[in-house]
Amino acid sequence: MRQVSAVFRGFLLSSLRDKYTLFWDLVFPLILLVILVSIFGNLGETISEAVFDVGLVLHAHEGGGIPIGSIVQGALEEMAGEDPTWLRLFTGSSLGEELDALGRGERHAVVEVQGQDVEVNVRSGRMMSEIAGDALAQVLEYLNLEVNRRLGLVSGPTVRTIYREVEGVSSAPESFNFAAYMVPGIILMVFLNSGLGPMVQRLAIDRELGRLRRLFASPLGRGQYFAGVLLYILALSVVQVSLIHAAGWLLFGVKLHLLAWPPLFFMILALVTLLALGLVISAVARTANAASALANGLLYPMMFLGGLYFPVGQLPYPIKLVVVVNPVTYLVNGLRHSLGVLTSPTPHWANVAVPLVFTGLTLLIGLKRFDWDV
Amino acid sequence: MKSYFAITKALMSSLFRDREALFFSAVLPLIFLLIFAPTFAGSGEGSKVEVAVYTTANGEDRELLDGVIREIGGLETTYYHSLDEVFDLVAHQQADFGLGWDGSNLEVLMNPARLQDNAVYRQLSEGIRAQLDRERLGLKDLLHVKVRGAAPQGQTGGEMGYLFPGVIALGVMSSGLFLISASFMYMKERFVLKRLAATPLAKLSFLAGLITTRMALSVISACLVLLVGWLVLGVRLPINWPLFVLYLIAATLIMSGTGAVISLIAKSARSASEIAGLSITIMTFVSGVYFPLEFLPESFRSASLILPATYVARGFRFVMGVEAMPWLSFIWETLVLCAFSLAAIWIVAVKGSWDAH
Repeated sequence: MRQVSAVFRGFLLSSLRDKYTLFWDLVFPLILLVILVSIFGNLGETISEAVFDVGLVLHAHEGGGIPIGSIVQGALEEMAGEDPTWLRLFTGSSLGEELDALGRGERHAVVEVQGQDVEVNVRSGRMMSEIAGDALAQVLEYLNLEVNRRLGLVSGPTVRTIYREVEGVSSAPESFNFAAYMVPGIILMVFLNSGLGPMVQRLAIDRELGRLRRLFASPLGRGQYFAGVLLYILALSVVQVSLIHAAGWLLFGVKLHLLAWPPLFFMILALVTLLALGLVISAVARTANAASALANGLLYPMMFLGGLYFPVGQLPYPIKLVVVVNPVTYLVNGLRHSLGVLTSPTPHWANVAVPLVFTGLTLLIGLKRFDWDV
Repeated sequence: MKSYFAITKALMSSLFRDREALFFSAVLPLIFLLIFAPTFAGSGEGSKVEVAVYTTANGEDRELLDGVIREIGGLETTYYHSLDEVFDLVAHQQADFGLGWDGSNLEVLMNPARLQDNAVYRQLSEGIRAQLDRERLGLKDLLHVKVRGAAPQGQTGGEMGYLFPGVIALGVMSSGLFLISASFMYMKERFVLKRLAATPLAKLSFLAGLITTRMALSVISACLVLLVGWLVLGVRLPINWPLFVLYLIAATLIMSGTGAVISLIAKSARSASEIAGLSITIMTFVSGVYFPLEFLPESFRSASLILPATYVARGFRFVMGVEAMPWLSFIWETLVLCAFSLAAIWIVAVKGSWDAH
């Protein structure tokens, strides 16, 4: 036990002395949480606050019939006048000038009216321009209905649309909260980093430089060394989870019951699964450089295609194959569901079974192939 | 000139042995491209949207909804026996969105976690509603409304168009930012530069060689991204090639200059390298590298104005034909940033001491 505690203390002191390790382990996850929640948590608000710059070009109205141009202009001017934070209308320029302005990014959309034809020009691939086009199309659709009504061509009620968001799991009936969605994602991100990050590299470097061989020439056993490392990772994880939870609570008002049994089970399962993967990397890579390349090559696809930051279930094949075989997908689904943040898109049995099978396989390969010496 | 070629060759060999630098500059942008491209295209026009439907409407109204959904196209509908069933499917993300139709109300069920897709589903639902009104009320098309997506001045976009310049900018950020903040500073701390200073090698020749290696890395990274984009994703952009190559060089210089500024603040090579690593993460999110600045909160948009990556990513979008901007702005921004970068590199690497003391 003394040896285990000595290894643990060694790792702990070495981390505490290194301000950069402390930063990446403890502060960086909080920075990432704040950035992601600030951007994606407020996406709807940011879009709804956007002001669309719209150019209007009217071609001369010939003959009788309904003066569509004047109706469209009147409606858009009224909207721009009533709510200038939604629409800014530009008139008086030619179509060529307006389309040039659209090309330069100075307009989100250009509406051209010729007779009864109303064309909304948007800039393909520019998301805000496409949103402006869709919004204008809806406005014009409504205008068509109103003109029909005023001319007495139609009567009767229109279809009413009711939008509803599906709520979280039954244990958490409150509405969806992006910060609550992100906290479990960031927790698993730090576990993924514990499994594949600096620990793998440190083990590989120590082995390559012969430090481990020298260490094991002392009375320290390999099992004791390994237990000390695991104890350190466990302590680090407890601190990381506490900090992330505290940041979620203090900055975004997210209160999650992390100490209930189901989320605790998923967090422990995640830590074991990802550490076992780290063991395989250390076993397969012969040099520190190779271990670092392999770990980084796995880290990013597992992180982004595991659904830590955004849903990945709808991705097309073959990229979805990575999602399906990735244990992080099941771990994060299980953790979010157990916390009442989001209904798991994968079956509950799979959320437990897939990581367990993965852990079994990686431990089997890792323990068989791992060599303490190079 | 001979010494420049000799040092460039030596530095190039050293760079290609550095797997970590190669990974972050050449492989990581590719990984990001392959991860984000299908994510960006997932909600695009090409993919089928799965809709779970529950209806209590009578035969005529039910047929009306059927017809409207068929007319709109791109939707794969399945009917269920209860709204709870539809609710459950949407909650488990087994259906993209759900519809409940009683003949006068259209209930739309959406999963709030589908952040990147819900705007499209809302749009589709509005299209269904408008078409239902048109059919039910016998609405006359007094306004023939058409939305036309165009790419003016020969530019192109598409769902993935925005991503490519961003991914290339990320590769350039990685290769440029660590040039002074990591490579140069580490060589200085390990007294490699002090020993080099004792040789007849001119400081400028060494610096030019160092920058050349990073420019080569930027070119390799960009070529890989474009090649994979073309072969795997089938995306070809109307790139202005001569300008693109020139801008790759300029952008690497700009990011190297940013690295030099970091070195001025940092106390050691390790600290400079760590600050550079953090800067890349922050700039990736705040500089509109992967998604438009318009989607960012006001505070982030203001912060983006002082980040060089904002201008580099925009410059790449311009030379790759994805986004328009006035030529004068492009030239002005690039020249100013290059001048500042050269000045920063000059202060750190030429005027500054090559001795770690």
